[in-house]
Amino acid sequence: MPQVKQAPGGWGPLSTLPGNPIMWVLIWSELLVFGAALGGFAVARLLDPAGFDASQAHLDRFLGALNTMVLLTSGFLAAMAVRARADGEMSGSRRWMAASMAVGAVFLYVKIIEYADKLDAGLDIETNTFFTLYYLITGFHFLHVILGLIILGVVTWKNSLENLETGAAFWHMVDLVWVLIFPLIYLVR
Amino acid sequence: MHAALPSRRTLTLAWLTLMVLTVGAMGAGKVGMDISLGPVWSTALLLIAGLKSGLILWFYLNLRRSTPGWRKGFAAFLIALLGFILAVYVLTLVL
Amino acid sequence: MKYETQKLAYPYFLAAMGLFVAQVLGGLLAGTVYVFPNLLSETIPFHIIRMIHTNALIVWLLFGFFGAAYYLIPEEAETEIHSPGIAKLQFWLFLIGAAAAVVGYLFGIHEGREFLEQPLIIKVAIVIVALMFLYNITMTLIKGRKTAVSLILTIGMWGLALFFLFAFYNPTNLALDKMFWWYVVHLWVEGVWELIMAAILSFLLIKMTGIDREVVEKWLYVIVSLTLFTGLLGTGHHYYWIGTPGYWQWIGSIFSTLEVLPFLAIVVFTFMIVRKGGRNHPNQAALLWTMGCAVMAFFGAGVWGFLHTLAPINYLTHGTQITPAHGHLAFFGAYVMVNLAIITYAMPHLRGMQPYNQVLNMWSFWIMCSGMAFMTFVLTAAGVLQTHLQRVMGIGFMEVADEINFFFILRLLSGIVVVVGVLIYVYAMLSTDKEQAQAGETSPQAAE
Repeated sequence: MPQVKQAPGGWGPLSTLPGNPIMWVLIWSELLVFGAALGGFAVARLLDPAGFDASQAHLDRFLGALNTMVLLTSGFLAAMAVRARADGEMSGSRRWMAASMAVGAVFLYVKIIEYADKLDAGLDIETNTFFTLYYLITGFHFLHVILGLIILGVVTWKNSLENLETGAAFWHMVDLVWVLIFPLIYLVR
Repeated sequence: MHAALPSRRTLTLAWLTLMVLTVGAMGAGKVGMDISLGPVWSTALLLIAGLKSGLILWFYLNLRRSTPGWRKGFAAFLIALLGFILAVYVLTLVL
Repeated sequence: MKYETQKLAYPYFLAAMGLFVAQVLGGLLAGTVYVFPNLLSETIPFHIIRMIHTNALIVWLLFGFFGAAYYLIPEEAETEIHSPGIAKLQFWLFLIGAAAAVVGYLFGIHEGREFLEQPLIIKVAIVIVALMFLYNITMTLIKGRKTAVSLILTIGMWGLALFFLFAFYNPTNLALDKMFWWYVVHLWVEGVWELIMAAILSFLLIKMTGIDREVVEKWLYVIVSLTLFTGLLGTGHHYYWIGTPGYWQWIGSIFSTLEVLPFLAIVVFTFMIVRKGGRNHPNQAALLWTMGCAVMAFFGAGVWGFLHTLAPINYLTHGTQITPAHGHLAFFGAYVMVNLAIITYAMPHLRGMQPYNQVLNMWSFWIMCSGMAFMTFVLTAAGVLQTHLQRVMGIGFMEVADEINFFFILRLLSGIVVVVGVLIYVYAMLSTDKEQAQAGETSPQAAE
């Protein structure tokens, strides 16, 4: 059977993705930015592997792993919220989303502890290339977590399925990016 | 696209798998030890990261209901990124 | 042309073309000074010639943008311009202000800050002109139909005016001076101007291909998102060596590399729409400029920008002839060509004629584009050689200047070609082809 080429709404291929198509333009842009940053990190490490490994030893790998689990769980709760909304459970969906945001906030709390530790130890963004990239990449991601929580808040309030899918898509992207950041910055050595 | 969301059971399984994989990453990354990982464990780490990203895309972001073009696009992105990083890692060991 | 007030664009386009000629003549003179360094060094020193070349460029592009807005907003909003009187007053104020600035430059009256050399009173006049324009356009939009094209265009214009306000802030600390200076320069050409350009191209494509407006608008949203996402933090690629913290090298490198994306999207968009919608519109020249604009902007702004945007590369190429190579093709491809496209499209309507002198206009397209492409190649070659001799081998600046002199001769020749192309263009726009003028009298709306 011939496929109908023109998808409804004129968004072309973008319309086959969940949520608002412009969100996917943003998601791809973010993935390219973080991808470029992580690629740059690998190349910078190539130029100074010993320095990078020595700096990396200052990071708290357990907290990094903990935050990975925190974000994955928050992402799961957000996905459940979308599922519940699709099943027509308005208040159930809102509860899932509230739980997702609460768990997401834990990520910020843990990350603040980490930043405070590093800053107390005198390790800041100007210390060396490793810490410049550490602060830039995780800091940029940190801002996305804050933005993500705001977006989740907005879509919990105006909770059409389209909105929820859009907000959750952003949140999953934030999740996905951390899943890449954690091993590459905290672990590989 | 709304009708084809993953079921609660599927999502829960995906989440459990992701958690197990994170524990796996902790093991492969030797979280408690300040020793060098070497190429084998580093490769394992990158594979786990790729696998986890794939799971997030596939179930959380519901790419399984998208078109083959998008699936290939995201897969190509992950393979290119992780492949590049692995190549640089190996190069770092050699140099 | 459906609305009476679209005629307001006419004087703006005339002024734009007039200043365009002045700009390229100034460029020709500056290019000559490169070859004969002492030429006019007492009467009009090089920095004054350069000032006229760059300021005239920006002013005529703004005339073009204002004209484009007055031309397309009524058609998009389906209503007349709020106040034709304000539009006319704004035109004269802007023209007199620009003329006063140029005369002032010739007598050495300027503030010396690159591109923002205008004396304070002229800057104030520019703000007043912008406010008059924005008031007029916004009021028109409020009472009319709100389309994506007119909204994006108006947002771009508002952004243009807002970011110009940083021109009034001139800290004595040189690092801060440069930091805020880029808020005007970068956020104009790599930010809000791109919105204006995308909106004008969208309008032209809707009118000339007959493609569904919905499809064009979706693309417009994607292009605008990409522009803002990459362009805002892309400012970082100017912050590598001005005294700002080192992390800007990473931010600037990454985001400005992605600045290629919106330009790539514009190319794909333009060609896809034209392929789908067909190219049967009688104004073939306007279609040529539209498609050419997308391509040349991609190469000039996108590819040539990327060439020297990564910090480790820019470390070597900064301040060499690579920069003018990029600057010339980017300004020409993106903003000159989009203006020439909308002027080519609108002039026949404004003069009540059929699209005429197509062949001549299209010749001017190919001549100008060839000239600019050659100029870009020559400057790039000069820049690569200069980078190698001066930055890698450490040979002194003046010695290197002698070595690359040959390229400046070639650049002057390419400049002559461009000026010829510009003169042909203006002639094609303003002359009257008798046969087609008569045809136009019988059906002035035929090309709608």
